[in-house]
Amino acid sequence: MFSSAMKINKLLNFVIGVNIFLFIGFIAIITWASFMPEQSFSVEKGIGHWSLSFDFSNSASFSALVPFSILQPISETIFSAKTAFLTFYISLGFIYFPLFIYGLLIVQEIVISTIKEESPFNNINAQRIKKIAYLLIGYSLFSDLLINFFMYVFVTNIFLLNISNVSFNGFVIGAVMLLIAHIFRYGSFLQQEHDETI
Amino acid sequence: MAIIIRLDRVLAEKKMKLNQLASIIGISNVNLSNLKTGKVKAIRFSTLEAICKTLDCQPGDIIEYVEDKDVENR
Repeated sequence: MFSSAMKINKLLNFVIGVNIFLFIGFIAIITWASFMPEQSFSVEKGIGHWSLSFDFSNSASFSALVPFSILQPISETIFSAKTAFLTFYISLGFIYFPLFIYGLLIVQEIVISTIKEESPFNNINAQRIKKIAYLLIGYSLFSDLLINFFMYVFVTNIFLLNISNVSFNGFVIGAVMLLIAHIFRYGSFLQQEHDETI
Repeated sequence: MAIIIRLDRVLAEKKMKLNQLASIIGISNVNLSNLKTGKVKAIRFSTLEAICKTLDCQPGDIIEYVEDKDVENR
């Protein structure tokens, strides 16, 4: 158990490092894109998605598929491709990366406490799992709705919040995590009973 | 608690030290000390059996029921 927890801790360190690196890279690209002229950005309407592209050279581009539920299928002449691209990526990046990195840090705290105390069952870990569950529920319920809202404020100025932006799968996974937190609290009680029995 | 551990008394009668008993029955000094001072919640039958076998006594010599009032008066 100890050696596998050590391996998981190393893997988590690597994943957190990669994510922080990606987040910094993401901020650099967005900052760079914000200084580029409007002609570098293009927008194309598909069947269910918008394709927003940022061409940073003749042969390389950076693009995003944005569903109609987030950016309404209105005429592409009404809004600016650059504003849509930047709004989508800034809101997505600043919602996704901090939450994901914070979630990974909580998982790492659980692994470190398992290494130190030789058992994952304690009340603090139950609270940590509860935090992850609330993060998941919050992310699945509000992340796409928030991006949808920012698109309304900064891009289209046409208010239309789409309920299909709420991810019920994420909500269910969050609820299961809450259940696991409860199981951990019971496990912590059993662990204490076991520790106080000789 | 209404259950009193009399391990120190039995150890004194048998002229045995706590660490000697701990090494014979195969549990740590800390755990046995916790048992002696009543800091544990439960004792396994296997531990009790090992203690009784080593000290040549009965479980009743080691654990004793005393009503709570008596415990408070002590």
